Amino acid sequence: MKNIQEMIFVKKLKKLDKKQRLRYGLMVGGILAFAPPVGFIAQLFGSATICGNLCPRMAIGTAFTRELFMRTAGVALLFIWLGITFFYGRWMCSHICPAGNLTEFGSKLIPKRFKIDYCKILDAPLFRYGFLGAYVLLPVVGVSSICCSFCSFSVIPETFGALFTPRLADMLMSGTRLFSVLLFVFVLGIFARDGRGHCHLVCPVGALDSIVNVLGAKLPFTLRERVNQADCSGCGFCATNCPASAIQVDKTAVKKVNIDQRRCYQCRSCESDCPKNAIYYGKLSKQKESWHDKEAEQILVLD
Amino acid sequence: MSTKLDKWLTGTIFVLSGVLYVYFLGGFVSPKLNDSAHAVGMLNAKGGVAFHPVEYALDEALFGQFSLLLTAKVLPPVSGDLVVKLIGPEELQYVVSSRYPPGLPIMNRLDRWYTFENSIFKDVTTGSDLVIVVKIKPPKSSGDYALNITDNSTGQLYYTMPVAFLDKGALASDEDCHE
Repeated sequence: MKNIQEMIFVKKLKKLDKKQRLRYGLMVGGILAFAPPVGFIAQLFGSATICGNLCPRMAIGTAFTRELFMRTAGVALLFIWLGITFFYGRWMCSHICPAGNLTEFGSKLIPKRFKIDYCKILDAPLFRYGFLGAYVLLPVVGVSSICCSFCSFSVIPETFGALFTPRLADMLMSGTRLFSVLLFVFVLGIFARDGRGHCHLVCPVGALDSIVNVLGAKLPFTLRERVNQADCSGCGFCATNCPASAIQVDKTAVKKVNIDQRRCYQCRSCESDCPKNAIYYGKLSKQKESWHDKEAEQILVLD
Repeated sequence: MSTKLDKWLTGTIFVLSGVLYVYFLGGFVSPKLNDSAHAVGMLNAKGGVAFHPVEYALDEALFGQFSLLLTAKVLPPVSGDLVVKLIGPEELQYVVSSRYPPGLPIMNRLDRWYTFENSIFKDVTTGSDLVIVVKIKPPKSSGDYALNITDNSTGQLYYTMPVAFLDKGALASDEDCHE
């Protein structure tokens, strides 16, 4: 078992597999598309960052107020975001969103022993749903400062953009902005286990996204991270390495591994970690639940 | 205690935690950070819409200044060159800056982007988003001021936001200067 662990570790170090290369490429693309100093997609819609016209957080925060009708681009992006999640899983959160991508890259510079695993300490999805509820209802009663004053979509790309544009650095010099930088860039950002503490705990778009992810996962034609129980040996590498603590392993159960779709954000690292290739990204219909399925498949092949 | 009840209890605790976290942000933190305010508004030919006035207490400045972030949508028929001014009983020292246009324009917006120079937004078109940051040195005494956005050539007022500087300690503990 130690040799297998070493093999996986060395493989990761020496060579990223295709899925992770694709993911990191898309993450860089998401940063270039939606974050300063480039933000080429954001600029098409009159913004320098995802904050502004394109902001899907504001689309959620103004869902019950008159401002919603002013935010066409943000509402459209939100629907595209949730639509992709419903059919294909949380690609937008894990591969495209600039806020999560920037802090995830930043967290790779921090040694593991300095990081906090929020997903192990808290039941992150439930905390996030509570936040979502308050986030949606507060503007209705006239408290909308949460939308913009303490916003990861605004602060994280701005902090990154400040490295290139002095104007953005000047904008950060206020009490509220500095507090938000401390919270989202550092405490819930680069010092979180996967750099995504703010994603797991306090992102309203992520909260809504995870609800849509769970709803879509039950359908046979949607694509998600799934487990072939017949191939699974119950070694638990996937659960140990999952950055969202989304995988539960019970060797004694018939269904040894369960992926919690509320937590899973489609980073696809479990597919690489599994020594038996039991975890796949695909449809429910391809899932082999038991040894009976595997035997039936073999009989069909022999025939 | 049954497993099902355990789960419901845990779920309730965490949902409440999320709500409390939002209260912490909106209720506890913001009164302590009264140096900055975020105002949302709309520019129109009738003098604009400012959703909430802004108030600062004179002893709450950070780094010797107050910050005002204004995000405003430009509604029809407003367009052209717009100038931002802070007016009131005293002549205040303030600096106006804008998040837009971006540092490296790669693909310009679907129509021409406005430019910003010396507190003047040039060639603003209807539907634009203005993101204005004003850094204000505190006045010597309390007073009521206004942040005005006007047409640079005609002087027509498109937006006005009341900005009040209050005496030291005037902001109550459960109040804040945010919108």
